[in-house]
This record gives sequence, C-alpha cells and structure tokens, in this order.
Amino acid sequence: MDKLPALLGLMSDRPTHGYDLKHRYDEVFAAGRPLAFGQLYATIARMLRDGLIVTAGAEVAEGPERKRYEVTDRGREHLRAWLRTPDDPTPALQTNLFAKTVLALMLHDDAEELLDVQRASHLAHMRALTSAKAAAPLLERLAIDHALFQIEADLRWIDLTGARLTDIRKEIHHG
Amino acid sequence: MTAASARLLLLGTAGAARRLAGIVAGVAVAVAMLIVLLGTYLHMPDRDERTAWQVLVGERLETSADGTTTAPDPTTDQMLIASRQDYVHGQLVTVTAAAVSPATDVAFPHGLEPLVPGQFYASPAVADMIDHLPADQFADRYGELVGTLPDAMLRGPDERSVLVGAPWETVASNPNARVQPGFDTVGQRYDVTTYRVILAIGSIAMLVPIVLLISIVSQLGAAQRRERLATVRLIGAGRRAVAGLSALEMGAATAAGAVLGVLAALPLRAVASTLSINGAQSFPADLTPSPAWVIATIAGVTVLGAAVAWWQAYRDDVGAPGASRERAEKRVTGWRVTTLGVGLTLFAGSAWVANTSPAASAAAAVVLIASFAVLTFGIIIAGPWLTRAVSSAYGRVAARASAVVAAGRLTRHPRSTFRSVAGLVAAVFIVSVFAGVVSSVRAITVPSEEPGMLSLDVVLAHADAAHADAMVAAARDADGVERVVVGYRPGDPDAAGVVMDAQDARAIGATAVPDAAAVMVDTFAMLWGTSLDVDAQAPVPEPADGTEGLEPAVVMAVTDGSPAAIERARTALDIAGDRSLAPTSRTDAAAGGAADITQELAVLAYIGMAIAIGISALALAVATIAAALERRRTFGLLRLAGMPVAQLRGVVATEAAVPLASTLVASAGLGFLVAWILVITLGNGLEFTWPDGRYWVALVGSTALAALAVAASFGTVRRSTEIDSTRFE
Amino acid sequence: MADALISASGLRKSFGPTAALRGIDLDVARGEVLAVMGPSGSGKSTLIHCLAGVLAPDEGTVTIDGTDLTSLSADARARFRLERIGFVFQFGQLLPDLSARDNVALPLLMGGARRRAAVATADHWLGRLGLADQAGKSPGDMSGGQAQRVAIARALATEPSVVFADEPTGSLDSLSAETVLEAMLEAARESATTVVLITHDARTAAHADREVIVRDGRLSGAAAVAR
Repeated sequence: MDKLPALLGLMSDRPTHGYDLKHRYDEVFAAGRPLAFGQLYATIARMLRDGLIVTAGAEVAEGPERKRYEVTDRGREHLRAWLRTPDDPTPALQTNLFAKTVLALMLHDDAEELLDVQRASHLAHMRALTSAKAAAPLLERLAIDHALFQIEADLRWIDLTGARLTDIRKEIHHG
Repeated sequence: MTAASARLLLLGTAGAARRLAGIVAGVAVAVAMLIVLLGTYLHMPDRDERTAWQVLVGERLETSADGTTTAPDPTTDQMLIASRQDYVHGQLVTVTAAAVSPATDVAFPHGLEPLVPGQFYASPAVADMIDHLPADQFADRYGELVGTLPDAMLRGPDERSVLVGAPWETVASNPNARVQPGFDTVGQRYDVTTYRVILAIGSIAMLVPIVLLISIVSQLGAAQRRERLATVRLIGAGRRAVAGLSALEMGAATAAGAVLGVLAALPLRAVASTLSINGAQSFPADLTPSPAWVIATIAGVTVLGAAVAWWQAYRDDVGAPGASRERAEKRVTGWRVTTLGVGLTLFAGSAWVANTSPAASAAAAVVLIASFAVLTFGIIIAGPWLTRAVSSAYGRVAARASAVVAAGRLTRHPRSTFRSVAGLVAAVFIVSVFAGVVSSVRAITVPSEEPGMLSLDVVLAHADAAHADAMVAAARDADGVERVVVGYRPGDPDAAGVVMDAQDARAIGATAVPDAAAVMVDTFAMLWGTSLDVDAQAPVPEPADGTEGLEPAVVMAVTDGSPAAIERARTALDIAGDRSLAPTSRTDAAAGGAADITQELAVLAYIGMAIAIGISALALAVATIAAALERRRTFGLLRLAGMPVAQLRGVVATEAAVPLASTLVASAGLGFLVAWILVITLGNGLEFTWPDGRYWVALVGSTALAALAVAASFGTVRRSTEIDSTRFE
Repeated sequence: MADALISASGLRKSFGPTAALRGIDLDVARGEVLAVMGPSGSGKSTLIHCLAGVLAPDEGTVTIDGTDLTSLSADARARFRLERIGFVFQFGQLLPDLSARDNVALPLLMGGARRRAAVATADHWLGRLGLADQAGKSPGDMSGGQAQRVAIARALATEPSVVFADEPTGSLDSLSAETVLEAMLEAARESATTVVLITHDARTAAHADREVIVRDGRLSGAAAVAR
C-alpha cells in the first residue's frame, strides 16, 4: 500500500503530531504490521519537502515537545486525486482500495463514487480482455480467463464493500 | 404432517378456494341427480307391487270348442276378473272389471267397499278426465263413480286406471276372464327389469362426469401447487403423504358437495316426479331413497372423490423441485380403437341374434346392454388417439400462431386434452343413439289417412249375434255418427276378413273394391296393417256371395271425424256390446305402443344428458384454466414479447375445439350407426330417419356450453399472464 | 449521442408508494451492446420494461428508432414489441410442446408470416446458432444451452431493431454461458442489432461495449463518469 496518501489522509482530519499519527495508522491500516518510526518520519519529511504539509507549531504538554503538522491545500489536492484514481488490478489493490474507502468515509467524502470509479475501471479492463480473448488461441484464452476471474473477484469484493458502506461508516465514526 | 400445515399447503390461496367451489358445485348437481335416480331404481318394484291388484293370476275359464265359456256359479269366496285397455281422446285407460256375488267375502284392496255392477272406482287422473268430458263420451262406459283409487293402488299420480263392478254373467262371457279368490298382492316384475337396468346405467353414467370432474380439478390443483408440494417433497414428505394431502382436500370438497346435492335433490325430486317412467309419473316418495342409502351415497361419493384425487396425485407425482416439469404423455396408438371395434361387433352381433332367434333374445338383450357400455367406454378410450391423429394433421396445415401452439399441445398431451371434453363426447354419443331410435319410432306414432286402410274417423267394435242389433241402434243414435256398417263372419272359417256391402266397404276406406254387391274385407289388417311396417300393404277386398244368413262379427261407426263424435260412438258401441274388448280406431293403435315407452326413455335420456353436459362443461372450464395456469410463465413471457392476448385466447379455445369437434362428430356418427343397427335389426322394418328438434337443441346446447366454458377461462388466461405474474425470478 | 437507437429521458416510475425509477436518462447507440447492471431491487427490471414498452413510465419519454413508445397505446406497444423488439429470458420461454423450429417460427407467425416462410426463416436462424440438426427436437430434449440458443434464434428471427436479453445465461454453467453469449452477440453484431443485456454478472457484462449501473432507481454516477 502507498503509505504517503494514507498518512496524508489521516492528517487531513485535524492537525496532528508524529506519535499520534503512528498510533492512528496502526489502529486503522496496520493489520498486525505496525509502522516503523523511521518510515514515518521519512514520509513526513517527503511531504514537508513537497509542500503537502506544513509545521503548525509545537504543542507544549507534559512530556517531550511535539511538532504538529497541518495539511496544505496542495496536500488536499494530492489526496483527492489519489482517491479518485482507480487502481490497476494487482495484488496491492485491496489494501489501497481499503485505505481509500476508509479515508473517504473518515473525511466525509463520497465513498460510493470512488467504488464506482474503481468498478468502471475494472470493467474496462475486463472488456479489453474479453475482446482480446475472442481472437485468442485456446491456451491464451485460459490465461485471460484467469485474469478475468481475478478481476471479477475484486469486483465482487467492491460490490460487497459498497453494500456494507453504511455499516463501515458507523463503525469508523462511532467505533 | 399436522393438520395446520396441511391447511396451509392446500387452502392457502384464493385460487384453491375457487377450485374447491367448482368441485362442490359439480358434485352437488351430480349427487342430486344420483339420489333421485337411486330412489327411482330402489322403488321401481314398489310401483308395480301397488298395481298388483290389476294383474290376472287366477284360472282361466273353461272354453268349449265353439268359443263359448263356462263360468262357475257365483260364490262368496271367489271373484271373476278381466281387464282391457280403453282409449279416450288418444289416452290409454286400464280397465279392470271385477264381478263378485252380492254378499261376497272377497276383500277389495286397501279397504275399498266391494262394488256392485254399474259402480266404479277411478284413479284421480281418470276422475279428472271424467270431470272434464261429457258423460256420453267417457263416463257412461263405466257407470257410477263411487270413489277414487288410493295412491297405494297406483304406480303414479297420473296413472289412468279404473276398477269397474260388472255383472257376473258379463265377465263370465269374456274369454280372458279369470277366477281368483281375491286381488293379487305380489305383482309381476318382468317388465321392470329393463327400466332398472336403464336406471342403473343412468346412475353409473352420472358417476362418469363426477369422476372426470374430480380428476380434472385435482389436476388443476396439482398445477397450482406443484411448486409448493415439490418443496414439501424436498423436506421429506413421501409420495404417499403428498397423495394423501390431495385426497384429504378432494374428499372434504366432495363430501360437502354430496351433502349439498342431497339437499338439492329435494326440489329436483318435485321436477323429476312429473316425468313419466314406465307409463306413469312418480310419487315423490318413489324417488326418495332411504336415509341409509343417502348416507351410503354420500360416503361412497366421498370415498370415490378422495380415491380419484389420491390416484391422480400419486401417479402425477410432483417429485422434488427441478423434476417438476410437465412430461410429455406416453404415445397413444391406434390400438385404442379396438375396444370400440369389440363393442360395435358385440352390439351388432347381439342385436342380430335377438332378432333372428327369439329363444336367445333375453340373453342377447343383456349382451346388448353390456356392449352398449363397452361402446361408450370405447369412445372414451379411443378419443385420445383420434385427438392426436386429427391434431397432428391439423398441426401440419395450421398457419396461425395460436393454431400451431394448440396443435403442439394436443399432439403431445392427447389424453389430458381429450379428458376435458370426454364427458361431452360420451353424452353426445348416448343422446345420438336415443335420438336415432326415437325418431324411427316416431315415424309410426302419428297415423295418417292411407289408401286402403281403415279411415281414421271409423270406430270398430267386435260384435256377436246377441249384441249386434243393440250396437247398431246405439251407434246410430250417437251424435256425429254418419253411417253404421256391419261386417259378417264368412261361412268359410278359414277365410280372413268379414263380409259386407261394397258401398259400406268404400265408406270405411277400402280401395280397389271389386264390382260386386258384397265383398270380403280384412278389417283386422285395415286396422293394424298387414305387418308392422310403416308402409303397410293395404288388404285387397275380394268379391263375396252376400251377407244373407251370416252372423255379425264387427260393427263399425263412420263418424264425422271429430274427437267428440269418435268418443261418443266408442262409448255407445261399448255400452251396447259385450264389454270384453274396447272399440278401437286406427289412431288408438299408436297410443299405447312402443312409441310411448321409447319417448319417455328419450325424455329421461335428454335430461340425464343435459346434466352430464352441464357437469362436463364445468369440467371443461376447469381443465382449460388448468392448462393455461400450467403454462402461465411461458404465456406470460410470450405476451411480454408482444403476443396479443387474443392469440392466447385463440390457443386455449383451439385446444378445446379440436378434440371436441373431431370426437364429437365421430361420436354423433357412431351414435347414429348404433341407432341404425338397432332399428334395422330389432325394429321390424322401422325406417331410420333424422332426429327431431330436441336432438339439435341438445347438440347446439352442448356446443354453446363448451364455448361458454372456454370463454369463462379467458379472464384467468389474461390475468395469469400479466407482467407481474412473470416477475418471480 | 449522435446516432441513438434508444433514447430515454427523465424516466420515472412508481409502484404505489415505492419509487422504482427516479429520473433516468439513457441513450443506446445503433448497433451498440449495452450491459445494464445493478443489484436486485435496484429498478433494473423496471427500467428494461419501460425501455421495451412493456410498462408505461409515469414521467419521461422512450423513443426507439424514431417511435415514441410513451405516446402509443398498450396494444400498439405490444404490436411494436412483436415486430421491432426481440426478447431473451433466463428460462421458461419456450413452449415445451413445440419443436425448436416451431418455437422460433412462432413470433413470425404471430406477425402474419406464412407457415412455409416462417419455418424457412426459423431453420436459417437455428442454423446460424449452430442448431441446424436440432430443429425438430422439443425443448425438453435439449440441454439448457441449446434451449437458450433456440430462444436467441427466436428473438433474432424477426430481425428486430433491438434485443433485450434478461440474464440470458443466468441458469447456465460457465462454459455454456460463454458460448451461448458469444453466439448471441456474434449473430447480433453481424446483423447490426442493438442488444441491451441485463445482468449482474461482470464477466457477462464484459462482453458489452459499455455498461450502466442502476442503483436506487438512478443510473450510478460512475456511469456518467465513464461516458
């Protein structure tokens, strides 16, 4: 999964600091593989360099001083474009789409629309494969069939996710 | 399976309620008829037991060689009894003359006072006639009416019967008189057997449409709940359990119908009692079976209904879902015609035997009735084959879409499609036979003036020397009598005929009278014909020597032809004569013949057939609806694709019309063939003619009812194929 | 759309209190194969019934090849369907008592064709769908795939402007489904017949040129995006 837009999405909810960000990332996306601090700070540095976030001053509280980061307009634009870009049918798709869906729901964005975009993209892939298959020799058809079934599996998951959006939304906002 | 779940499965829908209502109505009508028929059948012997008093059972009087009889002297423990058939205005009256000694010990039936000569008892129907006719036309023949015969002495309310008190000597001179110690109480039953056989066949025939109806309605039920029962099968109910459910449903409906039918029999009885059976109408009690029989009928019909439904469901097992699609029927073959062939051969054979060897006629009659039943069955068995043959030919030439669809179904389902019209077809067969036979009898029932035959306005009475002068005088005095003719017994005892003046011979209707003063004329042949042929040959008069010195044999009154004059002449001749035989005209020859009985059978047949046709039409409506519901999805999808609903109606109508038309024509034709065989072999030269209006009314009526039955299904055809009905995926 | 065979705009349809269609605009090009997808209860069937003139919409218009269906009476619409529209359903559309040939000839006969001509046309279409040797069989003696081909031959035999195929392969196994679908679309494309394919199956929809998704009585937003 692309970690940068996921972290950007988690930050765009409200200004936050590094420790808190890692905690929330682990909670939502890690699925047993927590984010390393090194990787977190490297990504934050890249976002600062590209102007996607800015430092919003330090928060002085009990314990060590912490830097707070805030998402810029440019960062928001980057995030939106990512959300709206359908993924190719690869093994990484599920995690990316999952991240996008959750973030869209968190940010009160239109999650259904992003699923529709993904679905249309997948169907376009299937259509291309299907028309290629019509002219293909039998052995090649077998390979194309496999690819079609893979995409179909994604589509089914998308359909199911779409049908569960209401429940997921509830869990994110109240859970 | 619990009762509650059974009810859910069976009665859950409005359609099921309508279906059961159809069963209840059909069974009710048939059971009402069945009850009346059964009552009639059971009480048939009673009717004749009541008229046992009319039967002559005693010793005949001694008759000497010259024809005179010798009677015992009157005693208190014996009576003389004689009977004859009297005619009045074309009606038959049974006259029983009884002679007893003044202080007799002979008991008259049912506490009637013994009669003295000149008194008589009359049945209510005769008493009514006496009230409406002048005495000189009728009542004077018997004397003084002293009372009416009680119902217990009559077969039915319209029986025309009189019991006359006669002088001992008068009865003693009657060669047919008997001496007996009293009136008979047992009666004879031989002429009742035919009626009982016919009634039994009628009762069975009434069961056929019931069975067809139940079987068809069960089929509709199966079509409606095929899916549901398939699910029941899947969750573990056995084939028997499913059949049991069907039997339970149908048994309950049949029982309800049977009970309603028993109630409906009460008003039906009043109508049925006005029908003439074996020469008389019936008392309502004669049409009412005992409570035990009624209960047995209800139970029997219920068991029959449940059994038919059970078998239908068991054989047409729905199986588990997926296997529930309707299968094509097993192919029907031409072998199905063999039963019909066997029936026809038996029928023609037994008719021939009955005609050629009178000794074997009793046995042949039984075979005749049996082969008639075989024929009726043969039609029902051969129907599917004929349906398939006609419809596959029709399918090849059919051009309309609805015709193609109908022909396809008919060819593949000839059994179930024919079954829906089988009742109508069988009814038309039976009614055709009766109509064919009745029409030929009718041909001799209305006599007309024929050259050489006795004029219709002549009344002929047998006479002897003792009474002839008085008879001539009495006839001359009667109003409307234009000429009185005396015929004399010829000297040659072997000669056939009587001798009379040539002018007299011409006056009574003889033709080709030789140019002689006196001629010999066969008046018996002029009255009855030389044979029973319709085109009876008129006897040819021969010259004779004269009437001098001969004894009178007949006295004939030539009247002005008015019914009143004929009856006055008849009454006058009777009173003056020896009372042993009633004076006769040629019109009377037809009044009490075979025509009456055949006609009354025809009336019964038409009524029975009307009911059978009604029930069959109901069955047809149900079957048509079932056939439409079975294909509701396909029809619905076709309609969705743009098939006009009129075409669907065309399909349904064609599916009824083709088997009906092909087999109806065949069964009507076969009916006439059977009638023709009957007429030419048994009818003594009767001529086969086309049937009367009633037949065509029955035919048109059944066709109209069939059309109505099919039209009644159109609503269901339309509703069941609406778009909503196809949206169950 | 420039050369729209079917043009629907502002379609609304309610059944009692339930709104099945809440404003649908849709154009289908001549010769196009369009897949209509959507979950059950989405209004998919109602949309198809309105497009095919089976149901009259409460609001909006449907035009097929220049004929405004919403201006026609129910009888005229039935006539239009018979002559200009072919239908293929999931199952149960063939009369079991008729041969495949007679089943295909049926709509031609209903349209007034002569028996001989109708049978010849039926044989032609059965041949095109690879059933030349099955014409005399009854549907009950055929496999599911063969029966669906007969149904397709029947839908195409009247040379309709558009064929509505409602889950035409829904009750077939994967391989039969694929061959039946390919045979149908090949025959349709050869005769430039427009096909509207109703399906919930993505692999079936992938045979189409384009898909629309019906959700809650509307065309889903992504469909617009894809256009």
